[in-house]
Amino acid sequence: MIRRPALLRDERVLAVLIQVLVAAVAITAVAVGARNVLSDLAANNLAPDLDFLGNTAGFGISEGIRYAEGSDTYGRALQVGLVNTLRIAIAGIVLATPIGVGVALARLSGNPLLVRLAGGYIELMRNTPLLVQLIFWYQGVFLGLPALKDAITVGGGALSVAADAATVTPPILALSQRGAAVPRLLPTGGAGVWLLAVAAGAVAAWVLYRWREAVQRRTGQPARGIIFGLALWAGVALVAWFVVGGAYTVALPAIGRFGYEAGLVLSPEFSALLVGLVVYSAAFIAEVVRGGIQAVSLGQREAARAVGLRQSQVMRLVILPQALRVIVPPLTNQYLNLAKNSSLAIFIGFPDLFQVGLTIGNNTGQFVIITAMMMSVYLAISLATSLLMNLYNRKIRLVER
Amino acid sequence: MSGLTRAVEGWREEWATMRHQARLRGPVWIAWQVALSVAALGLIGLVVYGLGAWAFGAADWTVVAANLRLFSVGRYPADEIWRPATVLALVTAMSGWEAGRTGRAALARFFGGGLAVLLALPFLAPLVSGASPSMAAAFAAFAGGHIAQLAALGALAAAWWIGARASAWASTNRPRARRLERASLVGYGLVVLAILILLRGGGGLERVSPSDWGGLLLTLLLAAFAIVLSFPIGVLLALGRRSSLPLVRWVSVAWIEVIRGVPLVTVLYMASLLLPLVLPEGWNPENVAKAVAGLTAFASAYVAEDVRGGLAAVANGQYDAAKAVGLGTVGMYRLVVLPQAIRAAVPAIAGQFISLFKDTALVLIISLRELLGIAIVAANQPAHIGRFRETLAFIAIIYFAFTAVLSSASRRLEAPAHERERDDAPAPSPKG
Repeated sequence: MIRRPALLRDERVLAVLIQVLVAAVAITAVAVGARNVLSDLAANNLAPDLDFLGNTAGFGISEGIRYAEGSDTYGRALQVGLVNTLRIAIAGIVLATPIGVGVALARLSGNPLLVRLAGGYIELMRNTPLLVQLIFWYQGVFLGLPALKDAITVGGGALSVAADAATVTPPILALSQRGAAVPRLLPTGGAGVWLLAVAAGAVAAWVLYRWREAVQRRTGQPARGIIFGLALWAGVALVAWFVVGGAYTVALPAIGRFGYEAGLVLSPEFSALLVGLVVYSAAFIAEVVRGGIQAVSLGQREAARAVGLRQSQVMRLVILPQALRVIVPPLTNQYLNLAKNSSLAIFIGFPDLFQVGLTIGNNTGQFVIITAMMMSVYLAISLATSLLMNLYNRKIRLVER
Repeated sequence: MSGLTRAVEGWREEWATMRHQARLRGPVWIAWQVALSVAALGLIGLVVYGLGAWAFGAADWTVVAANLRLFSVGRYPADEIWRPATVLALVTAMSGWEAGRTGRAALARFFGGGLAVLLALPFLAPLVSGASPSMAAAFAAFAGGHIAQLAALGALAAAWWIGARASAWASTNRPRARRLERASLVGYGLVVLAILILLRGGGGLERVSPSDWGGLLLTLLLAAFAIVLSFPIGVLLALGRRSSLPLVRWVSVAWIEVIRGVPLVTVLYMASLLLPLVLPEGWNPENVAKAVAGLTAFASAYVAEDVRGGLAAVANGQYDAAKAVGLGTVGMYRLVVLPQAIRAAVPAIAGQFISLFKDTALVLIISLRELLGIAIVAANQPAHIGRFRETLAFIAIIYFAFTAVLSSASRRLEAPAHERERDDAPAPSPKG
């Protein structure tokens, strides 16, 4: 006869008990927290809803999309913050990736000096807090730049307010206490048409590439799909550019008496945050890329050479596809980290989502609700990226036989 | 000395490899390498020259010399400075005891070496006084801590010696060894309690509000508490995530994914908002407690993911074997699965704790003044207004020293774990 275990040793009973316990603790914590938050709100004459977002915001935001102090709402202010966060995150990713890849290649170059230079840079970045670096860039570098009239310029003639702007070559980069100014692309009337043509050219190039690839597979002869495709695309873009008579003009930075008068002007806060995030993240990206390339075994390279592939083909057809499988997931993580780290903007006064959110909290008293909202936005960005990542991983997963 | 010879040996080997490659690859490769080397040398020279010229020229280190106490303990009252000094001695004594008792001397070496460097700094003052008087003054200012540093060094050496004697006393006798092990665990707990009482005051000692703690003292306290607390929570979350009980799993997954999806500043800020509301009426948690709660909540989610990775490395057969010898679920995890999983996760967890150490800088958001906060305070003093470069460079060196040592220690942790694995593994069979 099978003896039943003692009640508290029975796994089925234990399972129910533990779950009830966990549920009780979780529900109690949430209930007590919610009750206290509600009573705290009530004590301050605040409503537990999002209506306050419709009220007019009484504070200014130093930069971002259109926003009018004193007439736009808190909700609009939050949008401005979100756009600023996305702006800094996207710019940071676009700049940090090539720098990171470059540092990784330097570390793998085999040249002892270059390897040590890259290694020292990575160690310095990884062993000091990002926030210390950001405040250094802001207080130590960008706020320490010369006044506007003595702006540091790169390319072009020396600029001063007194000089006749027409006679001086405008610079490519200007740095002063007012921030950085870089060339700006100004779309002309034909820009829309040109972009459409470029998109159409991309589709045509893709079709051409696929066709040449099919030819190569059928005949075994090299069909140069990539070269033909790129040539077609470039040709379409070039012809369309002349047909519309130039899609963009470049506005170089110009310095006036009271500020920058032309070019893309980046505030000291934006510049410091961007430079700090890029320099920091590039070191982490470099480590990810290096790890991925080193994960492809040397035998793969040798085998590819042995079957007669050229050096460029070895990289494109053998090394990169395998390295990317290793690189992409942690690289996405680094991108997410960069986006989350942009919330440190608050410490240097750049109006990102978190900074604007806290200002709204200070003005309305709705601290808990606004903080929860901001956390949800960051969470949504993270979860959406993870979802895309999982889809990608499924696509490139090794097919095991 | 051996380190130097090893470095020289390494360089010689590298040079030989380069020469070998040059012979094989020909002049184009050589030209390319020369170009790379010149570019790298130029860049290195530029950075070194620029940094040196600034540090000995434009930089005014008076801000560091004048605020050394602020950097080390924050606004801790000057009359009570012996208390943090005693805490330092207690901590180094613990590391010395551990080193003498078990032979694990990494921490003790780190403290010993660090204290030796601090003791040596004032002697550097005459060397730089010609180039930069303010830097000399900053070096000389370190002499103010000599008594505390010597006491800590003495405590470390004494505890090391006693620990070694105790371990020799217990080495031939298993029950004695077990008693010693237990006694030192209890001792550590008591010392931690003593540290808290010493720092806070009460019971005859003057009260020092935790909001007056600051500088390196606060950085280390926050990091130590968050690390010690987040580890067990992280392990529980990792187990919860794999649990067959749906409720436990959902709660764990929600915790881990939400925390990992949001920035640390928002977690710290939310913790500072919610903690007073969730705790019973009348408990008014100190900002330090809020910061520890936020950091712990944050780190636990990341530790959980590292432990989950470690759990995945434990073979299924281990579970079956544990059940087969009659262990229950708790015994199976405690005695068989977790030891292996945690050993596999050690490098990742160590990396997590290193970032946690750096992340303590973010407690600035709830206006705590650890190292970074002090650096900002010092650079806003009327006498030193705008000296951000000096204060930030100074604390960057401190952060760098701690994290570099932590990461080299974690690399050393990795090596034995690999070796142990190789011992257990069956002899490799030749492939057909």
